[in-house]
Amino acid sequence: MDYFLHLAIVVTIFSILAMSLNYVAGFTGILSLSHATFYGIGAYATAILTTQYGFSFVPSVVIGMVLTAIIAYAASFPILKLKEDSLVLVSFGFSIIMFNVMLNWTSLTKGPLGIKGIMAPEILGVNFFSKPYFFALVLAVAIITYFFFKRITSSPYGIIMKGIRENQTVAAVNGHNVLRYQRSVFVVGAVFAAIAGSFTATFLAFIEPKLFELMPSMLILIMIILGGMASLKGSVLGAFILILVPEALRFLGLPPSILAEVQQMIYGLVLILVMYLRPQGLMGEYKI
Amino acid sequence: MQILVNGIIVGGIYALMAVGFNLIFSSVRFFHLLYGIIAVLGIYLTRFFLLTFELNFFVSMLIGAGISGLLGMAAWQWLYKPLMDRKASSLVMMVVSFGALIIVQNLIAMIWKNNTYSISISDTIKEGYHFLGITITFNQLVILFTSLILVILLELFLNRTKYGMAIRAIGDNAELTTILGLKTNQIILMVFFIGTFISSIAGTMVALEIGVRPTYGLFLVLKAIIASIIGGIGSMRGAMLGGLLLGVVENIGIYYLGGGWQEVTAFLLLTVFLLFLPQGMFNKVQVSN
Repeated sequence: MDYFLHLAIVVTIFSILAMSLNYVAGFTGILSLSHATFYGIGAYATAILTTQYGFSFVPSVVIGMVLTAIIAYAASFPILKLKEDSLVLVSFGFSIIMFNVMLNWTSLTKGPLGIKGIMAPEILGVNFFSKPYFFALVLAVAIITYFFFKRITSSPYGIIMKGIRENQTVAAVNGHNVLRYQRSVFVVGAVFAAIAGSFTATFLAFIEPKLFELMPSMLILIMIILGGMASLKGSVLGAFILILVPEALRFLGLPPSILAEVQQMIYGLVLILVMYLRPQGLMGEYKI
Repeated sequence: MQILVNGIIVGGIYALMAVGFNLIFSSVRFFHLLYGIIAVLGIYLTRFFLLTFELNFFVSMLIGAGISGLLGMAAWQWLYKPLMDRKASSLVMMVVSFGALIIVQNLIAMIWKNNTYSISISDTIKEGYHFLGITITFNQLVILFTSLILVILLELFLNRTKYGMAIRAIGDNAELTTILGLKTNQIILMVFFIGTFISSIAGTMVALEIGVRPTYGLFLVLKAIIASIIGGIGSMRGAMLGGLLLGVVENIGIYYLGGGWQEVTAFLLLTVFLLFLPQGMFNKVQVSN
């Protein structure tokens, strides 16, 4: 039972990540590979503030969100200046740079050693250390995230976002400041990734830079590609499938030494199959 | 001065990677990320022939590169071409390519384990050569000469032969080339063979210098992409200069900031070029818009 709760929590956290990336990539067409970086900034903010400076959970999350917003805003200047392939490259470059910062700024992040002993969140006197409580908490956050993005994307603002995705020139000709829209979307998406990061940090009680490298960024992107661009339900489904299927392999009796490799190969296979068979993803609106 | 020389040697490898990548990119117009991991596979094959059959280093390098070249052709014929025929966007191609990269990388990790291996030409470690206050190891000399020879051969091939001209023609305008009656697909297959062949040799040079791990595939292809963009994608000479520049800048970065920041300098250089000089040093085609 504990194991299933653990999985449920992981799926929920990744659903938040996938929905927030879908908001950026699926709805607005900014195919960013730096999502795990913002996730990491949130995680590190909570980890450092609670273990070293005695902050409690909620203020640390808020500070993490503000910090992420500032960094995402700054990063959006070079990233959003570009399009398509070069945008992917530079956002990837940004995540490499931030990964190296996490790795090399040892006085703050303890570098490759990681930060241990992150306490479970405590909100209004309720401690969320036990798994059912923690799951209820992340689930609530995930549901809020879902309705938040649902509301935004069906508002007039969301329609302009989709317009920008379909044709930037037309959106600009209609008098919308494309760059400003993209920038606000990018920052909001990053802030939600930071929230997911704070929860991951308290859930695992240990974080290291490796958790926020390229592979998690790719994993989130694969989730939304599989689930479908511009579909929030699809993102949740994608998170569900891509966490549970590799997990199910454990019961197939594969030797543990090749388990990690086989799991990653599944990700690769999913990418190729989706591109061949259904480029818009399982529940998606449009093809990348 | 030593930094500059080291930079040029590393840059020579990057230049080779970039030239092969560019050759492929200019004929198919998408980021062939699989390129990096096939090069790594070439290194492992080289090492395999070197150790199992105790062949000469250069012979095993050529066999390894030849097999990777064939794999490159297979990737085009069976992985990319069906999608290209359906007019898939370059982003889709990149995603597929990345998926294939993950699969091959993990296959390599399964077969040869996730360790770092190095390749050596001779059994004994020789002392470096000193002159003018610079130290160069024997391996580095091999790297330098192999890069030079390959680049010159490729230049001659592209500029002096019928096939070279056809390849450049496809790079300029693929549809027109088809209309003129050239067999585009065969030429692209040839491009994949040559490009992958070069990348595998460049990979072996990397293994001589720093060893090889399955995860180097992405690292290698990213360096190739960065060097190509700096040099101006689609231009062979640009790719060479871009590779050299990247190598030198990285080494300067390592010298002043420390080894941990190598990737950071590379990507900063890329960002600066994409923002301020998106067409690269020798512009031919711009990377999107």
